[in-house]
Amino acid sequence: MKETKTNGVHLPLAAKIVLPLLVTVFCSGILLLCGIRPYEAAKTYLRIAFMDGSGSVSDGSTAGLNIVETNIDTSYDRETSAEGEAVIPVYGSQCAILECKDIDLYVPVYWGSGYELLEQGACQTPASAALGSSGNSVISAHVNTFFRDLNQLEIGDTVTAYTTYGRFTYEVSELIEFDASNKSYIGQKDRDILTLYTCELQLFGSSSKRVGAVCKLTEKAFYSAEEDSGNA
Amino acid sequence: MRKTPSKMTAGQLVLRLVLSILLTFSLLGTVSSVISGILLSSPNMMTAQIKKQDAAEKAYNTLQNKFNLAYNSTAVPAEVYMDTITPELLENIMRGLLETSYAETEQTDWYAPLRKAVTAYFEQYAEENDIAKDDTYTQKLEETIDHAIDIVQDAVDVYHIRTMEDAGIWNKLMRLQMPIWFLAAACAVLSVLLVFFLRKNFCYWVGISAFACGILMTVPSAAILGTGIISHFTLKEPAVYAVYTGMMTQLVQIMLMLGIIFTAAGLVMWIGSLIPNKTKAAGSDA
Repeated sequence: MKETKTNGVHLPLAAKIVLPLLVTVFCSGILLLCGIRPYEAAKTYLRIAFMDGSGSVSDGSTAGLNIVETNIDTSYDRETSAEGEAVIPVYGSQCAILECKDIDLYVPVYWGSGYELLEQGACQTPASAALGSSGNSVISAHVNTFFRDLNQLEIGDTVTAYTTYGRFTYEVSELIEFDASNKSYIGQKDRDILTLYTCELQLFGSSSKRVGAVCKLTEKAFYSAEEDSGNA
Repeated sequence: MRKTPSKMTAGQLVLRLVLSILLTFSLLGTVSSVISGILLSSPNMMTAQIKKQDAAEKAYNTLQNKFNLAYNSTAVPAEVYMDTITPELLENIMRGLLETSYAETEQTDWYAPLRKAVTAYFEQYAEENDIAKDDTYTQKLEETIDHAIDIVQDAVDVYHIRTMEDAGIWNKLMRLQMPIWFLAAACAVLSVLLVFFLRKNFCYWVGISAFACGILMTVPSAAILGTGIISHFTLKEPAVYAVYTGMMTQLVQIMLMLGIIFTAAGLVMWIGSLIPNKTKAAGSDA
């Protein structure tokens, strides 16, 4: 009878109290380790899906979209550098001012998409490269509002994008026409370009055709860090 | 003779610890796969969110804005489209889209009144302005109808099922239905077996597993709700934002609630298993 009793697991009370906590920590560790690879794979998508840093809450009409106008200096004439770091803006905030003197274009650009932002200005696709960084920066706007004269662009015209961190100059290198379902122009590229597009202007009825221009980057002018921090 | 049982005790302790850890993960697996199974097997949770978030009304307002904006580029007044659309119709289309996608059946043609209205407007416009009904006219009419249907479909496809179908994701998800229920059943059977193996000092060892499982569900869920990360969701179309964030919040709340239940049950079992020992110890001390 005595031997039967001693067969049972006998832990001191302190160990019995600590053991569940250790098991919890151990299991959390295993779960975290197992989650590293899936997280690495999903990180980019998660960042895109939850990139609206404003954390604004739906008020019913705008569904949490917080449209923010940014003070962008288009007459910056102090020290600049060809090297610098582009800033990924907050969803719904104004990220640039786009200017093309050849067609009298001067339009605020918002980071995001949707009809509410398109009412405010042009929109830069969040999946595209931030202005000044490597790749294809894609900006679109309505043909009946901000990009009315986009089809007037000609090869060689200069397009300037002003941001809070720099000024980027582009030259129109290709005039494009494509179907709305064709994503080849708005996908990522290994060249530093700016793609501008809008709907084809129709007097009656809608159009699935898109028109625009591909502009190659000719000059990067990042504002100096001191000025940047001063502005901030 | 006395050393043999102490070795057995150490072995038993390690074995029970391992079984307890396994039980933690099998409980977690059971809960996660049952929730995923419910989501993948029936559109009920998703359709409930459509009603709860008033998604049809939001989609209706979005359509009103979109068609108003489109007027400048299409010259077709918003009323032409909007007179054929009501929030009730949009809700029916939203539900119908989900139900047909789950059942993989043909969708009802909801857009006949819209086609009729646009065609009538085009005909009237052509008559008033002496426009010939040639190929260009027909093409324009078809493009405008297709474009309008695309706009409505975008607005009612609040869960972006069409996009998932086009990308092949939806079919893959639907194929997971059976495996996920098998996984749930396997985890449940494993949990029962582990509970059986841990029947000696049941409350303590199963309590540990329930407590650990509960914490593993409670802490991340509370962190997600506390940081408000769900409200950072990028898609800002009012109806899409409302149903997606509503759905995510509901799922996290379910996890949080189950986590709290598991934690509480684990704590009760764990503490309950200690009290008699203490009494026994006090009795023996005395």
